[in-house]
Amino acid sequence: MNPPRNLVLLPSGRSVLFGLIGLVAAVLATTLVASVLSSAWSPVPRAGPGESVDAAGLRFTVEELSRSAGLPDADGVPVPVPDGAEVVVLRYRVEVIDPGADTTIHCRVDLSDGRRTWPTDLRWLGRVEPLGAPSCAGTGDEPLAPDRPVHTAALFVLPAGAEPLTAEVTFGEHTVRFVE
Amino acid sequence: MTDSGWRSVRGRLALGVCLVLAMTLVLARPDPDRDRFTVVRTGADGWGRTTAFDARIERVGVTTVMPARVDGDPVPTEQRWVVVDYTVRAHRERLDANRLWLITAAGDRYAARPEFAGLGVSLLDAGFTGRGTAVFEVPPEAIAGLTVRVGPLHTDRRPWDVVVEHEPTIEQVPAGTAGEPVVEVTR
Amino acid sequence: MQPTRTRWFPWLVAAVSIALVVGSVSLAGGFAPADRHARVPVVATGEPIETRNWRIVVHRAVLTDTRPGGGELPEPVLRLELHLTNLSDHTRDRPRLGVVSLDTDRGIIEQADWSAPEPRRVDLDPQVPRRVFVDFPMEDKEVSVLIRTETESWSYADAVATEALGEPVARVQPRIEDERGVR
Repeated sequence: MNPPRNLVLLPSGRSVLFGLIGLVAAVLATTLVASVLSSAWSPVPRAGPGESVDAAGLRFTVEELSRSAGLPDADGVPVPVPDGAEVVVLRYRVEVIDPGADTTIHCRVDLSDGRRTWPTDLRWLGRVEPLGAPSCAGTGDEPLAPDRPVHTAALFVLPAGAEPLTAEVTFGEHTVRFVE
Repeated sequence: MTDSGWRSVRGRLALGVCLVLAMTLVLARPDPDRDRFTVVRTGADGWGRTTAFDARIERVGVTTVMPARVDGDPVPTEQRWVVVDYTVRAHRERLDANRLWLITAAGDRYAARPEFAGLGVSLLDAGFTGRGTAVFEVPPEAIAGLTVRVGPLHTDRRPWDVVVEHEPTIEQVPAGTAGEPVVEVTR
Repeated sequence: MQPTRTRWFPWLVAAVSIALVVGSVSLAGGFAPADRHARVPVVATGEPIETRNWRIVVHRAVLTDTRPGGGELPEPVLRLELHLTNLSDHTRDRPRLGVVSLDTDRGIIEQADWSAPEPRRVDLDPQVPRRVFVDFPMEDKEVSVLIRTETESWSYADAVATEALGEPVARVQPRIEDERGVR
């Protein structure tokens, strides 16, 4: 004789399924809200020419963010750019303000006008008069240190007239922005 | 008898559906080298337009003699050199514009020959137009029914990237020539 | 009421079968790692070998200290001259590491420098035969070239078919020409 099967109170399959869907939806919603709120609460630090901004124990000061029709090379001869293009130079200084900061992270710099982005043009950096260390971590001989700030630069070649321009400096998980 | 488990019609139907699904997955395996692309075909004006770039194939010529550089020694072949002149406009970010492929009617994919890489446009930034040449080496019997594919051009791999495809009219050229690649601001 | 015999009979059958299988295997000498390389056929120099993706002809083997285009090498190398045809459906840089390797008493040597006669580059297009050089960092006077095929396997985790190095399909034992010092 078969024992009755439904003696134990088991939830029905359908209610378990809905419960799981509800749980997943709740987790997703919470994550979404949290990420939106967190980015609103900690916007990317930004600075204009002459201004400073601090991130990750380092202070970034914009020394120059300017445009020109070209740059002279090491012999003073202008390096040609395509017709209708211009060169944007970013020079900035990095100082250690927290002795425990990580000073070994290299920076990547991208320029943007909101629609388009341009990476640092490394093909140029080797040809023009050296504008500074190639990266915010300094060089092997002169690395970034609490008593030794680094002057560094980035060059971009882009169509003339692009605006508004923002330079985004990324180092590890951190980002700072420089505006004209 | 309870209406559940594989003994029931519903159960067997579910099992059958699962088996068919499993078989379909096994048979329809994507080829890892055939990445999944969206294909945009060139239009009447010759341009293929995508969000990241526009591309146009200017001319496709076939020859058995091709100089490796503009004024270099000719490089002969027992196959055929297919010489593709192209123009690419980058819209939003830096692209590697020299990634062209020839697809034969049989589905074989030929990459541009590295010996002629200097004739192509390499890195193309947003707002710039590049004009260059890609050279392919293809068996003579594969010439009929060729398609030129431009892309993917992103410098990193992306799922479901976009390519532009064009079916050219092929010209016979006595000896292939190509000028230096040109990059200028998009007008 | 079921007869008692049918309750333990299946277990008996299973036990006896297992014992028979184990017994025959141990009588036959047990499991031993297959000596794969001993059964690989030897192909004559100059004869084509077909694998999944390649038709390979080992044309020559040379001990040399000169680059194919001229110029000295820092160390002598054992250079194989191959005629190679890509049988797959897309251009490949060169065969996968291990498809062409040297079987020595020090182990299988896979690392090599691939080159083509100047001004060509190695890149291998479908159905286009090419002459390539494969330089191995060694100076042995005898060589056994091992050709392995490639296999395709289905990865359910990545939902994609992937290729990997497969089993040896042939070996070639060309006579080595010593051209060290020849310019």
